[in-house]
Amino acid sequence: MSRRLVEVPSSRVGVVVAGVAIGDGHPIRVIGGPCSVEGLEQFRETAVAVKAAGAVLLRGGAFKPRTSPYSFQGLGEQGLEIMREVADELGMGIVTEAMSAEEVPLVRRYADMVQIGARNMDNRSLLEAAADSDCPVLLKRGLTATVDEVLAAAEFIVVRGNDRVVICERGSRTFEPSTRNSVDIAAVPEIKLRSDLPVIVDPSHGTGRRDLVAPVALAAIAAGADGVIVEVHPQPEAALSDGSQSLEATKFPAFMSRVRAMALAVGRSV
Amino acid sequence: MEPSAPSVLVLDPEASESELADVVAAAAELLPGVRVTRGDAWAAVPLGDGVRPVDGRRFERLPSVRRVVQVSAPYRLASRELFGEGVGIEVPLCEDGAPEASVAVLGGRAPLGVIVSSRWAAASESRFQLLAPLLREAGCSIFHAGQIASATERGASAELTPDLLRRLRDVAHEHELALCVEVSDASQIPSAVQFADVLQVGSRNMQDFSLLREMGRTERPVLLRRGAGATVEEFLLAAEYVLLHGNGRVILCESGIRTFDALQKPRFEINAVPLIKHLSHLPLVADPSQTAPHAATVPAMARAAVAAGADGLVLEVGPEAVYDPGGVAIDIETTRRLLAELRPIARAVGRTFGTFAVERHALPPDAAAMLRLTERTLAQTIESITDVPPYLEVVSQWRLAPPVRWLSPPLSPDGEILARCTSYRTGSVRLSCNLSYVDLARIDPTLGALLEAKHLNLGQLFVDPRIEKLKFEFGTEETAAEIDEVFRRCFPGELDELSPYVWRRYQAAIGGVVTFLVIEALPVRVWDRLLDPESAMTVQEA
Repeated sequence: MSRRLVEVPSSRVGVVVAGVAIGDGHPIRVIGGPCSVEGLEQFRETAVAVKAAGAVLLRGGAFKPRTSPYSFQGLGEQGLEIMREVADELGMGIVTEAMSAEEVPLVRRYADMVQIGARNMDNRSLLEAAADSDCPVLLKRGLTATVDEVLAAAEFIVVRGNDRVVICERGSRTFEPSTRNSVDIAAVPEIKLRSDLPVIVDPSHGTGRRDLVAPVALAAIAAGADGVIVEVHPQPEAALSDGSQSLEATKFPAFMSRVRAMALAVGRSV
Repeated sequence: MEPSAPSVLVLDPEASESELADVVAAAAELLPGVRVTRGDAWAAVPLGDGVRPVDGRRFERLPSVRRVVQVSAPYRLASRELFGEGVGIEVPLCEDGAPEASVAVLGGRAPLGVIVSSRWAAASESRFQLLAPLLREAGCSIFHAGQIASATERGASAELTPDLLRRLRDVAHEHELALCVEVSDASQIPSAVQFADVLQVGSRNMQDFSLLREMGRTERPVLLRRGAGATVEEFLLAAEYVLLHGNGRVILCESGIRTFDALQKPRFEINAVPLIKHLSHLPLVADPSQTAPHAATVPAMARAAVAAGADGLVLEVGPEAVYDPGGVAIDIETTRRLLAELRPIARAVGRTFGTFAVERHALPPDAAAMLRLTERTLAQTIESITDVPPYLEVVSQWRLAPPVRWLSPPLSPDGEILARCTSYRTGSVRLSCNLSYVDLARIDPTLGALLEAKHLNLGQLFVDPRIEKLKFEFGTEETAAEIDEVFRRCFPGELDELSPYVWRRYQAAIGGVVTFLVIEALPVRVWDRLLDPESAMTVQEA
């Protein structure tokens, strides 16, 4: 067995984001919100719905790493402003992505947790900028990264003195055509075994299909994940990005009640 | 109705042979060679070749046809569209080739099914004798013995000879476990059918179409593993081969796919679990053991599979946790604990699992009353109250060399005694302190070794009805100074946590011969809180 790559002495404290502790010994945390921030009303409607149902942090994209340059690239700083405004109204924290080292200070000004996306997991200057931002970091596992590699990426942040890193398993590409990605559920206990960092799962990107989001989220909780990050949209069919994998805001409470039942079954709360 | 859309005639399974023959004859005009596929309580015939137009209405009038279902998937008999829900498959024990009592139902709304394989136990009848009752007690229903010896090749020691297979079958059936073997060549089917209740097609053979066809001609349930390079659609089409040739009893097994990381074992594909359940009515079990990076991750993967909607699991179990290229094994104690953990997870997704129901309404009033439930083991009593299987911590254990005068009688005067101090715990809460003495001269040496290696605990043994518990005594901290003294010696520094406590002492005998002495103590304060119906405290918060 490999040695423990990441040692964080204060593991019981977990990673605290806007007053919400993520990690071992803490409740299952659900992070919800749209893939992209499309406007104030869309984001507020989603945020109110996810908060009412029990999500504790908001997600939303302002800088979007889209596969095609012609796709909607996000609202940029305007998106950050919208998120901050709504989050303050609701008293919640925000998780959002920075795509380059230069963007980190800007994102940091608005967000409570900086996300490093799967495509940027190996972007060393971004990892270092996130480490130096003195802000909790959500590190997504790369599309073709091994467990060793994502732990090594986390190490880049931790060795610079920022141990507030949460690792996110978001699936990787396989030959299977009917799902966007394949969630590596074994990575959840494996990372937990080898590191003290909290682990969450993204079943939205991990499956790419709305109908598979709930069962894979439940699987993640049963496997020991500390939370899930889920895309939610008031009208997924009209979404500017990732509509097919976003839960409808009206269905989100039903999703949360299943999450709650599973959390209880493994001796945790939500 | 689209005239050329592929469809399936769902038939009345009770229909007479002549009525079915009429349907088959008519269907064979459109798809030559077609035959009736039979599952449990269903029968069906595929209609049309998907190219030429078919008028399904013509068939609706036939007396044995219940309905004509248009199927949009490339597989037809495997499609969920046939029934709109999962359909269970019964697993009967087959004596001398003929099916008899069913020991399990996999899929549909049945409780989770657990298939256990064990290279360790399959290697000898005596090992399996030891494992089988533990498996049955823990809730397993099928024992997977491995790969049957080929009719044409000889010598591979890991393979099952017909003689060993027969003996394993006898032990399995004695404990109401069905026996499963892997068949990798059609020539092995006759001897496999003779001894085994379930036949497996391994992942390497998933697209061995001639083998699949032959499997379709048997009536045994077929456990079909997904090939490591097969898409879900290819997997279901492989199942369709078996179904199309008449056998409706296919149990799908998700056992991992290759990804970019060729150094790793195939990835346990959790997405495939809900995906396949959405697409097919067939039962789906998942095998975390073949794909786990190491033994420590198997329980988490197994829990995840059940949470994602799997109908059951395949687990490799050994006397101790081992890593093997063919799959990791978890030990018996881990297996038992895992299966107990699955109960609340199954309930959370609307399923059930397990053999003994937990009756929460019949809570004992206090810790002393708990100890008087002598029909159950202490672990069972605790679990029935907390809903969580307690974890057995072995605090210390040692051997006492003979003669141990103060233990004999009732234990033998000249045998070695295994003494152990244990605690049942849930998280950080100590739920009990236990002290036990085992007369090693009077038990099977393998059993003794398993106990000593902490792969087994007495609670597991004591569910065996052949072990008789006698001479129960009950008391409190004040009523027996010698018990207090023993506890002070065995749990140094921890007695304050335990005190005040209530205790029970009893003997356990095998065949009338006293072999075990046990003292169990419950901390009163902890149990007062846990048993208080007004208390909102959960075990986790205790």
